[in-house]
Amino acid sequence: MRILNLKTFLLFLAPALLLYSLFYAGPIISGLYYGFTDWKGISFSANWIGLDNFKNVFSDPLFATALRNMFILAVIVIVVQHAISIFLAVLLDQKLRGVVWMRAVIFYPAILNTVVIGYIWSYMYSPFVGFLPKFFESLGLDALANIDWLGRPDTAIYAISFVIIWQYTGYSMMIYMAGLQGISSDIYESASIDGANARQKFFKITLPLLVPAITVNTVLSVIGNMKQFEHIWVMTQGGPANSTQVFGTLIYQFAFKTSQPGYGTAMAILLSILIMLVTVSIIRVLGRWEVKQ
Amino acid sequence: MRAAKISSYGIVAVCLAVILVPLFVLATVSLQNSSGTLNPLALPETYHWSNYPKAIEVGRLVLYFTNSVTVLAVSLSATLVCSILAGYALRHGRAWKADWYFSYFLLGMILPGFAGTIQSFLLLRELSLLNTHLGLSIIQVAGGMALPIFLYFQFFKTVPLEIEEAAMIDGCSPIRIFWQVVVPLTLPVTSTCIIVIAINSWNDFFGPLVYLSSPDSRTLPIGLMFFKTQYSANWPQLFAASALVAMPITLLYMFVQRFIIKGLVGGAVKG
Repeated sequence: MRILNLKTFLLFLAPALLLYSLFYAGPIISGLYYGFTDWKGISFSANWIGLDNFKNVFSDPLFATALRNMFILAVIVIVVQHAISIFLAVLLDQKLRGVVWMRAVIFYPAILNTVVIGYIWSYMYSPFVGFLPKFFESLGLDALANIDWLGRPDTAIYAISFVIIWQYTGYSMMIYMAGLQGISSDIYESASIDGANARQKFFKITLPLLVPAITVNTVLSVIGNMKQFEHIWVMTQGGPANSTQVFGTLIYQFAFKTSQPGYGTAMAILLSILIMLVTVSIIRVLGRWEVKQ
Repeated sequence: MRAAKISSYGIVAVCLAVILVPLFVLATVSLQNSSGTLNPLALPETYHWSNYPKAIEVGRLVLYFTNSVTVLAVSLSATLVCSILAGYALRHGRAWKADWYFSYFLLGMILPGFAGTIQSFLLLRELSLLNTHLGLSIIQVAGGMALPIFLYFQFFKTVPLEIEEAAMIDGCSPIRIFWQVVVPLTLPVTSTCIIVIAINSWNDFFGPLVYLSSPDSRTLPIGLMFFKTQYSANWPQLFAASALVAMPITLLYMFVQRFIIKGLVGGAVKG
């Protein structure tokens, strides 16, 4: 029996389909045309220039910087944030006094506004007046106290990735906790009877059964970091000396600062392809490790 | 065993400190004398509460708060309506290639939204919606409906067909079945969607940065960003403004913390 007929089906679908196509998908898909033009972004018209944008992208040092930073962010965040959050999830999954409160505190930065977070950390890092210089100074670590973390091309991207980890560790932790709750306690009991110790239980039971949660978390944070714009824009705007440029900041600048949106669009096409490739391969690879309970 | 336990709680304590110290610094610096030297390591000697009313006035925070609420209200209600309807259509649309539409909508969770910014910008300009809260809301609805559609679709699959079929045999029209039988069941998914949509809209940075350029139309995050460009050296006042911007969501979090965490995590896990 059909609940909807064609007319009601279209009626229900229309508002979402129209808005989504006009104001989200349409603009992005039209980039497949504009990426091959000298578009100035003043009107919808542009001249076809073939592959010129793409040729220029590949010889553009900023493209290499953006690729490098995307890679740094993705790798650091996956390794550090996920290691810490799995560890915290396992610890805070137990029934302990104050555990609900601890989880809530660790999760809290995830709901804060990026501008607020950017300001807090700009101040934390800021030379002379900031928290870290004064903190290291009070410990007598003058070498660390004199580093301008966000102002040096060799440290800025790492300082920013620390902020991203600070904000989202609690979020990954909660996703891992949801995963832990799906593991039946029978498995742990029978492992105890067989004489397994805590370490064996973690590596032979917990970790393998957490693979679905690891997949979700990895996909979320990799996609999020590949699309990174806000944290960098608020803290460094891509500087110093372009050392923290990522695709998001470059595309924004080509669109609104230097009036080369056609060129920026070519980069956006490459980024979209990269994101899809990476997402599919993460799901493929981690899917192979998945085990059934 | 005991040593292992103590060291693991040591690590938890360090993590808690790393989270809390910057928040403490935010609070304490916001109360310091805005013309004196700053000491982020201790509580101020005298509390300069006057930084707060000054920040509200200088930062025009009341206006920006109202703007943020307006955008949130429009974009939340419109996203809910669009996605619940679309989710239902996709659930019952096998005969008309619903799975194609479904994959098309899912692209919205993967593709970078900034890839189509200039096109959307020109489109809003053509429609005279640039610098309007309606225009920004429309952009948020279009860019944020993928996950809600997915969540509603997944939920509708769990509703037994028999319920709808029984109503149909009793002579209910499709619209009445949807409205009176199905919608009342969606409360749990709807609450997840409300949390996700509301937090994304409230914290949206890129949208208002691009589509709202007139000072009067700014939302809180962008208003706060311009606060810094005007008063860059004044950390206490900037931090008072930041604390105020963080306040509404923080208060909400204190009262319905479980609900918010469940909403955000549920949205991610099912998505």
